[in-house]
Parts: sequence; structure tokens; C-alpha cells
Amino acid sequence: MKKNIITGFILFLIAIVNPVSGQENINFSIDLINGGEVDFSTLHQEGPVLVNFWALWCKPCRTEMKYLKKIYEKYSGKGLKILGINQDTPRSLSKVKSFVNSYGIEYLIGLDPNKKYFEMFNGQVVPYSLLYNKDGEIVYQHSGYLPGDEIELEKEIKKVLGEE
Amino acid sequence: MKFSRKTFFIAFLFLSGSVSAQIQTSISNTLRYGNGKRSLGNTTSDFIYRENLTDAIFRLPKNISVGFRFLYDNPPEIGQEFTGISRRYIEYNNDDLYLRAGNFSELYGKGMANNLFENRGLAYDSWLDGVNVKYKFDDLIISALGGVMNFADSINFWREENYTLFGGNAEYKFNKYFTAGISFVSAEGEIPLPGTIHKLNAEVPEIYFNLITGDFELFVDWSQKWTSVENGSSVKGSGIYAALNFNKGALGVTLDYKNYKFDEQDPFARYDFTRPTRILPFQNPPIVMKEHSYLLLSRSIHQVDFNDEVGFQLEIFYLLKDDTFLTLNGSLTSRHNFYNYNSAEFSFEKENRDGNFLPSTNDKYSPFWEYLIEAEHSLDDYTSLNIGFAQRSKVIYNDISGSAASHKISSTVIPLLIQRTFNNAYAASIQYELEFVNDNYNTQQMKFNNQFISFVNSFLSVINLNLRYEFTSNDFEVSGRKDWFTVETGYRINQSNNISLSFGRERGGQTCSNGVCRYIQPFSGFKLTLLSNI
Repeated sequence: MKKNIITGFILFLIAIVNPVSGQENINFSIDLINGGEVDFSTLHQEGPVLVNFWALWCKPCRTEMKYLKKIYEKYSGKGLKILGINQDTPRSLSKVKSFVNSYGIEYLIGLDPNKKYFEMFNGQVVPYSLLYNKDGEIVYQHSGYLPGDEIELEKEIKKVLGEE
Repeated sequence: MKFSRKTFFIAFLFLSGSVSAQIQTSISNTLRYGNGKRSLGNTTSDFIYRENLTDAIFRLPKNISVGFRFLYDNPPEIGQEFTGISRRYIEYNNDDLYLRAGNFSELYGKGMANNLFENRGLAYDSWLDGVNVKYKFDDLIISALGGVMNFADSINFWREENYTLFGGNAEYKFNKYFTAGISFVSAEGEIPLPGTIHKLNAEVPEIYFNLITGDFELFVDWSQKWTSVENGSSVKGSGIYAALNFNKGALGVTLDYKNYKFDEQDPFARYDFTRPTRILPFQNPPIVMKEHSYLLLSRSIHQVDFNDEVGFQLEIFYLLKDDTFLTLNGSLTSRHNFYNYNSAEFSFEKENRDGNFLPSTNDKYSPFWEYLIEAEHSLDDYTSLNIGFAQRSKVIYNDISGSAASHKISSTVIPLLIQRTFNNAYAASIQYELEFVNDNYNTQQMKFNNQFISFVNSFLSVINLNLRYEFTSNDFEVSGRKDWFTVETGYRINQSNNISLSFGRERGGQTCSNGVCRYIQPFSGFKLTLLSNI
């Protein structure tokens, strides 16, 4: 027990002496639901990117997606990119493409059936959103969704686009 | 194959010291504490849980990462006590090559042969400790893994099973329309029983393809499991999963099909959960059922039997104008065959069913069916309304006494959710669910109803207050209570830290994920959760 606590404490010390830069400068490629793949570093060089982890079974995720769809329609012309990373496991994965197409979602949707990317971002709960600027720095991150969160998110997007 | 924690730790300290300036660190922490009383039937006992989970990822130069999970489960809310490093790995990842040594999850195809995953809420963990490698060469992806798994059965925690696993997968994209893959998993396992240990060998091959043509997409996956038990039986079983998608404009249709016969057995053997020939913990095929997000619909659902089950699911999505989204889901599932009971010989005789590649609604085959119709409507930019209607029926056939003694339960659920953002400072949502239940095992009151109401208030997107109330008219509720009330408040300290506190009574019930179900005991008391992500 004592040994384990000491090990944990050493890990904690290593973590705090190293610069904690969260999920910045992550580089990865992800397969997209409608074919092809996208390289994340290329994506954020083209403009600010909102990464949003979501799942079909998650009601708050779907509510948030309704607003993300509107936000994308409003700001994609100004350079905003959205990458939705789906967290459905094989049990409901087959329906994701049908949902995305019929819901009229135009932003990029990637698949993460064994949570490889969620783990890479050290995610804990869905929905989980991170807003990156052009330099790959996180300017906003948010776990969960409650009504009204979309206002805060839009404010941050305006800020990163230089509109506020 | 197993890497010692010390080796990882020393290697990491070395790397950390030499390239410290270039290391990027990502840490997430989940602290959970609960203090109150937990009940099982009429027995109530004091219960405290203390959990702290720290996931640390250190990103080194040259695409190398090192990760650790420090876990303090002393005791956990669900599962076994553990304090120490429960995960550690070193990983190399560039565009074409992925290499990881240590703990990892993995999925081949749709999980018929290999689907290693963790669900902490159900204390289910089938991660492997070993080596995983993946190489991408143009349109070909080749994967291989090897390692050991220490798996604690989620129903009987005393049953710790040990497996040594080797597997591989190759997937080739012939063109943008056609992709095919093959997998093979080989395992040696030890399943403990009181006084003895079952030793087994298993081989699981899998083949699948995906075809896209016009507005249609078809996926078909076939797998076979062969299990040989030392000084025991050798069993061969198989499974098929298929999904057909149709997408055109605002319409999306998915038809899923399952035909799982990984270990079809007579009722005596079927209910022997210790039998070593059943589906193995590294296999987790699709359940082909709706994953509900409403509370009363997600409770007490059918538990999939991957060893003997056939069924299908249809889900239709339709965007009716821009402000209304419709979902229609229906599924039917049953066992393949019937077993006649011979009371004189105390044995069963198999009676094959004609057309057993499709599910049956006959009680003899323990059918389960459900449907849900749901509409999501936006009244304006700030107000939305969700309303649904669902019905379901489940039969657990009594193979010895017949239909009259079988457990038959059916219910009708009406969920309603209204959300409104009033202004920058205040938003609210109300969720109401009403369920009418008919349960023939509740002999003195077969018909009763359950109601759930939740009122969430969000202030400035920083503070929230949630009131939850649940009521049942069932006078014979197993916990002895008829209502449950919880108040919960959450505070977003900053973008990286969220805290929530709750106080009250929670009803508990059966929770399922990935075909794994657990009964969560009712809890009364105080809970604290602190989520951090930096």
C-alpha cells in the first residue's frame, strides 16, 4: 500500500515538473465516416478547429450537435472547421452513418470504435469539446453539455475567429 | 510477454530525465467519493467508496508516448479493491506504424473475434497486457497482438480468469466500394472453479467484408469459435452479424442482423455460468438492440446471450423539415431452438425449429421485442422538445415447468424532454418519463407504473442544480421503498475542473453495456465527483 502511494506521488511529481500542455500539438490521422481520412495538423493549419467527441446513445451529445450544426453553417465560411469523433462501439456503430447523413451534418465525422482517439485526448466523459486555434493551441475545452453551454461556445468561436 | 511495472517505470524515468524539456504532459483525474447506505432487498448496510483514477500521458519527441494509470479503488463503488499502477504502456505512432507495449485495448472487425474494452461503470475490463502492432501499407492494414489478460467476471468477481492471447488481422481496401478483412485469435485460458481449474484452448477465426453500392452499404461478418477443454469437451460454435444501410437525402435506414451460436446448450448447461465453452471475454459482438438514453428505457433491458441468440433491428432516421427529426427503432430477438424436458430422465432433448435463422415470437424461445418512436422538435432557436413512445416485451421461458411458470414482463414508456435557454445567464430542462409495467412474477400486483422527473437549472454555464424524483406504484418493490429523491449541484471551477455533489436516494437497477449487465444496488447518501483534465 505504502509503496503504491509513493509510486503515485513520484508520478505526480514527474507530471508537475514537466510542462503540462494538455492536449496541444497532438498529431493524428482519422478515418472519416463518408470515406477518406483527415490529418489533424493539416486541419488546424487551415483555420481554428473544434474537436467534439460524441456518441449516438448520449442525449446531451445529440442536443449539442444540433447547435454545432448551426454554428458550422454560420462560421465555416469564416474558416471554422469541426471534427466530430464518434464514440459508438460496434454495438451501434452501424447506425452512425445513417444518423449523420439524415441529420444533415456537414462537418467532418471520424470514427473511434475502440476509443483510441478519446484515450489520446485523455477524455473522461462525452460530450467533450476542445477548440484549437491555428497554432494548434487549445483556447477552450469543455466536458459535458448543459442547456446554455452553446452560448459560451459560440462566444469562444467568435473570439478565435477574431470577431469579438 | 508481460512487462514488469518496474521496467516501465525505470525506462520512463530515464527518458523523462534526458528529454525533460521536450516532454508534453496530459493528465486527467477522476475523484469519486460516496458515503451512505446501500441496500440489497430488505438488507441495508453502511457503504463508503473512495476512488481516484489518474491517467497520465507523457508525449516524448519522435512520436513516442508513455502512459500510466494510477488507480486508488479502496473500496470502489463496483468491482474489486485495487491500489497502484493499473495501466502502463509505451507507444510509438506515426502515419504507417503503430506499436504499443504494455496495456492496450483493440478491436478487429466488429468484435466477433476480438474486442478488448473497459467499462468502469460495470467493472468490466478485458484489456490485454503485451504487445500490439499495426502497419498500414497503402490500402492494406495488418495488425498483430500478443499478451496476457487477467479478467474478473463481472457477475462473479471471485472468478478471475487468465488468458494468453495471440491474434492478427488483415484488412484490404480493394477500391472505394469494397473492403474485406480476416482475423484470427488463439487463446490459452484458465477458468477457476471451486476446487478445480478448467484449462482450455480456443481458436477464433473471422472473415468480413464491406460493400458500398449507390445509396446502399452492406457489412457482413462471420466468425467461428472452437474451444477445447482439457479432460473435457470440445465445442465448435459460430456467429454471423450483418448490417445493411440505406441513405438518401434526409432518410437513413439501418437493418442489423445477428445469428449467434457460439455455444448453444440445453437449459442445464446454459445456466451454468462457469462452463468454459461459452463465449470468451475477448469476444464482444454487436448486440443488435437499441442503446437507450432515457432512464426508464435503459433499465431492466434484455441481456443478450451471445451463445444462443438470433435477431434483427431496424432503425430509421428522418429529418422532417429542418426543425423536426424522427427516429423509429424496432428489434426482435429470441433463442434458436427449444429443448423438451424429460422429467423421468431429468434431461433435455433438442427440438430444432424450422427457420431458426430468424427470431420467433413464440414464448418457447424466450423472445424479446421492443419499438420506439421519437420526435425531436425545435420550437425556436432556444427551445426544443423531445417526445417518444416505446413498448417492449420480454419472456424468460421456464424450460422445466413450461409457459405458465415463465417470467413475462411488458411495459409501455412515454418519455418527454423540454429544454430552453432563456438568456446568457439561465437555461433549464425538464425530463419526465412514465412507464406502465405488467410483470407476472409480481404476483400480488402485476400492473404498476414508474415515474421519473428531472429538473435541471443551469446558471451562466457555470453552476447547475438538478432535482431528480422517481416514484413507483409497486407496493412490492424489492427495495421496500416507493420513491427516491436526489438533489445534485455541479460547479465548473474552470475549463479543466468540474465538481459535483449529490445527496439523496438512488433507486439502482440493472445496467447493461456491450451485452454485459450488472445490477446496481440502491444507494442513499452523499456523493462527490471531481473531474480534472489538464
